[in-house]
Amino acid sequence: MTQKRIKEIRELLERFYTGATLPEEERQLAEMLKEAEGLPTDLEADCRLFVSLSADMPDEVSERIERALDTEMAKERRRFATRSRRWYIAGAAAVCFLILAIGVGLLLPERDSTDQDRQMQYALVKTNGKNVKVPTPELPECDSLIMNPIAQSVTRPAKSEKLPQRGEKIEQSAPRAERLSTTKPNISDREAPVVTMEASSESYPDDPYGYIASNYRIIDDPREAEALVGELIAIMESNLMIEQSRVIGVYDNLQLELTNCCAQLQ
Amino acid sequence: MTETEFRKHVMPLQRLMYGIALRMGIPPDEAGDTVQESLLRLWRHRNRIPSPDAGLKVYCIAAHRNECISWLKHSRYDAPIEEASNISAPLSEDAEFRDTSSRLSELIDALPAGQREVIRLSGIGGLDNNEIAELTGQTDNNVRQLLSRGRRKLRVLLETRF
Repeated sequence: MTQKRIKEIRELLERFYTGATLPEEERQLAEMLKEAEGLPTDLEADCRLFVSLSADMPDEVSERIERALDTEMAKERRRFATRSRRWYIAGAAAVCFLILAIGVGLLLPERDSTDQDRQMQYALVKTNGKNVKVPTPELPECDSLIMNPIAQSVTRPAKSEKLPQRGEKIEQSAPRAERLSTTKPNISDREAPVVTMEASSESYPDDPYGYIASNYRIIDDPREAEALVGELIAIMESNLMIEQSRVIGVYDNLQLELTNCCAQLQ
Repeated sequence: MTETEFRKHVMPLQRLMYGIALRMGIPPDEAGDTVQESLLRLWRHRNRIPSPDAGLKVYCIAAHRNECISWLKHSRYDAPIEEASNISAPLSEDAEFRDTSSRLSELIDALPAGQREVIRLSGIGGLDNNEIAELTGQTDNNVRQLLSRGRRKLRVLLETRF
C-alpha cells in the first residue's frame, strides 16, 4: 500500500470520525481498508470497525428475498389479470346487449293504431333486394291518398270520382267544403293543392287501381324511407287538422242557425 | 407505484435494511426474514410509498426500522430499544453471538440512546446525515455530533474488548 493511499485513508478516517463523510466516501474508505496488506498497525482497529459496520448481506439471503417478492408480484399480476378479464367480459356483454337493443329498436316497425294510419298510402319500399309493400288498411268510406314522392303536396281524389285507369292522366282537387255542408261556411275554404301525375303503364299485380304513380322510385335507403314516411305523416296530420277546423266551423254555423231559428219561433 | 418502479427504487434498499437489522441486534438469519417481511409489506402497500424525490428512501427505512422493533419486542432477545444503557454493561456470553455482527450489535447496544439510534441507521455508505436527521427527528448538526461520538466510542470499545 502506498504512502499516498495511506494518507488518503487517514484523511477520510478523520472526516468519518467527525461525522462529515458522505455515503460514497464511506464506501470508498471501506474498499481501501479491505486491502489490509501494508496497513499501519494504528489503523487496524479502524479496519475492524469498518469490517463490522459494513457487514454485507449473503447472496443466498438476497436470492431468497428476491424469490419471495417475485412470487408475491406474480400473484398480484394473476389477480389483476383475472379481475381485468371479468371486466372485459362484462364490458363486451354490455356492448353486445346495447347493439342488440338498438338494432331491435330500429328494426321493429312502429305500430300506430290511430286514425292517421288509415290514411297512409301504399308505398313500395325496397329492402334487402325485395319489394316490400307497406300496407294500410283500406277503408271503404275513406279515400286513399296518392302521393308523389318528388312533389311537395298531396292530392285527394273524390270518392265518387272514377278511379284512374292506367295510362290516364290524373288531375284532381279536393273540394272538401262541398261534401261537408251546404250552409255557408264561415271559415275560408282551403282547397287541397292539385298535383298532376300520370299513371304508370307498367303492370302491377298488386295495384289494380293504379295508385302507383309512373314516376315512383324505389327507396333503397331505410333512413330516406323513414324520412319520407315521416313527411307523409306530417302532411296527413296537417290535413287532419284542417278537416277538424272545418268540421268545427260547420258545427258552429249549425249552432248559430239553430239559435236563430229558435229565436224566430219565439 | 408500478412493479418496475418498485424493483428499481425499493428492492435495492434490501442491503441497507439488512445492515440496520444486524446493528439493531437481530441475528443474521432473522435479519434476512425481517428484510423480506419489510419488503413484502412495502409491496402490499406500495401505493403509499412516496416518489424517489419525495422521501422514498426515508419512508422505506422507517418502515423497516419499525418492523425490526416489532420483531425485537416479540422475540426472546432483549436488546435495548431507544433506551439509555450503561456502557459498562456485561456482554452476553451466549455462543450464538460470537460472530462480528453480533459483537458489534452488543457494542452498539452499550451506547447512549441518541448515539445508538444514529449509529444503527448510518452504517457504512447507507443513509446520509440529512436522511438520518429526518428519521430520528434530530437536526443535521446533532446527527453529525452523535455520529462522531458514537463512532469514536465504538472504535475504543472494539480496541479494548476484542
